[in-house]
Parts: sequence; structure tokens; C-alpha cells
Amino acid sequence: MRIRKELLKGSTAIMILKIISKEDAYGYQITQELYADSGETFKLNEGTLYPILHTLEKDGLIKSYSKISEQGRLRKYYSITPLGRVNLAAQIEEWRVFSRAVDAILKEN
Amino acid sequence: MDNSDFDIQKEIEAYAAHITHDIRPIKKRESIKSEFISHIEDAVYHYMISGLNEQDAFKRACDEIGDVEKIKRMLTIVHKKDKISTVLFPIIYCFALIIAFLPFILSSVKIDYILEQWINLISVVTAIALFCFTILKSYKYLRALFKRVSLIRKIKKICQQNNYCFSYDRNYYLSIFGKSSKHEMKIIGKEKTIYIKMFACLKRKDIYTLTSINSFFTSNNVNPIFVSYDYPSIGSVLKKESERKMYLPRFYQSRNNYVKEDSINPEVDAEIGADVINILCINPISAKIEVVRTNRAEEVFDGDEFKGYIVYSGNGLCDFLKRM
Repeated sequence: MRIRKELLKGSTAIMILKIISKEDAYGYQITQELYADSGETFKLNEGTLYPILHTLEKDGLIKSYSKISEQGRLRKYYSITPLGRVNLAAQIEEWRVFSRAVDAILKEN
Repeated sequence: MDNSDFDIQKEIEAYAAHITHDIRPIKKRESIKSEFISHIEDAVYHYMISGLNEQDAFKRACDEIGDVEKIKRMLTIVHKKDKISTVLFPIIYCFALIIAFLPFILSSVKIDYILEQWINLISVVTAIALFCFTILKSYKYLRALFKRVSLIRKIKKICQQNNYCFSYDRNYYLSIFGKSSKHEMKIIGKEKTIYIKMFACLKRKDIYTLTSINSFFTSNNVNPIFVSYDYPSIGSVLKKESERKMYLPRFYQSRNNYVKEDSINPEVDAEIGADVINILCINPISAKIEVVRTNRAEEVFDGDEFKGYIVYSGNGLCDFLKRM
């Protein structure tokens, strides 16, 4: 099922943050994990990932560093900062409240 | 398009350059561009493994990137502050210069004595600040330049002592080839065993990272498959000719520069079964040379101390943490 962009828009950053919180990851890996972890539901336009990552980095929620990958290639990895973890926890909580409320309304209907 | 005319690396670089064209400053742009190149290369590689040819894989990877104009706009917005700061800096500098020379500019104008004293004071303070700033910047630049030159000399000397072929190109990457060094270190990673013959470290804060490992991923009986060369990512095992061309563009572009008799073609030597091939690439601007000299191979495991450093080698990587 294809999810409308409008629905995806507000939640992309939190999902990316969550993926990075599990382990340090590079851009392509994040898009692949997002796709796989969502049960092949969320297919992000890969190019839009980087502006989001750079925004998160500017906000101090993640930080980047270069590292040689398993394949022997130099890649830019992103890792979550302590501030990012706090922010992620708050966003998850906010999301749960929001989704419970939406579910409650939709069930009633 | 004729397949033979299709240069995948050029196409990828052109595409990434197009996406990042509007980003300022250039240093930032280059960093983001290489991030996109890496991403597209990953995608192309993925699709080629799935069975697509180079052109189709590249097209598919570009499709997955999405609306280029939208991404360009998003990137410009994200990096807008940097753009402003690069414009503001020269303006502030020029403004400070004007203030510093204000007494001379106003020399023909008759102004109140107290105001004149204030202007003089402000201009002197500004001039001193400007002078200090310029001296500091120049010192930093010259220091970096000196470090780079002395490092290149140092490496050259090491190469001469060890009978390595030394080359230095304008991209500030150094390449050292050697074949029969007895100095080596064996690092057993989780998945692969790596033999390092000679290496350099890049120091970032307290972390020493191997920027290049003259390594080859081998089975335990030292049987090199292929040694990659001179790409920012060093040490890939690339079996197919197409993979090599894709990931090692600099090698293919610059291989003609290494035609000396004593130079080594890593690809050919690996294919004919050479036991040892050294490749070293470092960015000499902030690098620190560390040459390991041992007469026998030493086995180093994660967490071991080696030459005063803690070694860890997860996933085939070799990072060296300076002992605190």
C-alpha cells in the first residue's frame, strides 16, 4: 500500500532518528533500513534524506563522522547525540499520544 | 547511447555535482557531493548485483533519488546560514578596515575634539584586532603548509629507505607502493584477516584512524584476491573489472603516471599471485605517520595494546585509540 507523502512528512525525522539510535548508519543504509523495518511500506525518496539528516545535525540531534566501511569504502556515518536521544524519547511519547488519539477517533467512526 | 561511451563514474559525479551545485561554501558542497556520490555508488552496486547493467542501474539509482530540483531547494534552505556567513565575513572584514582607517579618511573634516579622540581609540582597537586576526590566520595557514611539506618529505624519506615507489599527486593523496617489506602486522577482524605492511594515521582529536591501509583481505594462507587503490575508500575486494572501474576511477585515470620500472601495478600483481603489495594513501594535511616495524607478523586482537595504542578491528576496520 502506497502511503501519501503528507502522512509521511511529519514522521520521517523521528523514524530516521530511531534508526540512527540503534546503530551508527550512513545514508544509503538508513533508506534501506527504513524500507525493511517498515515492512516495505515506507519508500523514501532517497535524495530527500540528506536535507533531513543535515537539519538534524544542525540541530545537534545527530553528529557525523567519516569511517571506512566493512566494504573498505570511506563513508559518512551518522550517530545520535545525547540531546538526540532525549529528543527522540520525547517525540516517541508525543507520537504515541497522537496515534492513540487518532485510533480512538477512527475506531469510534 | 553506445555502452562503450558510458562512463559510470563520470555520470555519477556529474549527477551529484548537479544536485549540490547551489550549496556554499565550496568545502561544504564537496563534502555533500561526496556523500551523494557514495550513496549513488551504493545504489548502482546494489542494482548491478540484482542483474541490471551499468546504465540501467545508474538510471534506477537516479530515479530513487527523487526530484532533483526539490532536493536542491531543500539543501539550499538547510545550508542557508553557511551561505550568509560566507558573505558576511568579507563585509565585516571590510567594515573593520574602514573603521581602522577612519581617522585618515576624516582627516580633512573638522570634528569635535572628544569625538575625534573616540574615533581614534576605536580605530586603534579595531586595527589591533584586525592585525592579530590576520597574523593568526596567516600563522595557521603557514603552519598547515609547513606540516604538509615536512610530512611529504618524511614519507618520501621512509619510502627511499624502504625502496618504495613514491608518488604525490595534486589531490594531496600520497601513494606508496612496496612489495617486499618485512614489517607487518596481522589484525584478525570478526570476518576478515588483514595484513598491514605499513600505514599512516590520521589524527582526529584523540582518535587515530587508518586513512589508508595497505591491506588486502585474504584467507589465512595469504592469498590476495585484489587490492584496491587510491580511492578514498581503500581496501575493497573487487573481483569484477566493471567493479574496479567503478570504484577505482583515480587508479584508472592515473595509472599511466606510474610507469617507472620499479613501480607496481597492484591489480596485475594481485592477479599473478604476489604475496605482498603495499598501498598507502593518506591525506597529508593533518596526518601523522606511524610506521610499524616488526620482524615478524604480530597477531593483534580487539582491545590489545600494540605500540602504545589500543587496537580494535571490528568489521575489518583498524582504528587506533591513543592510550589515555
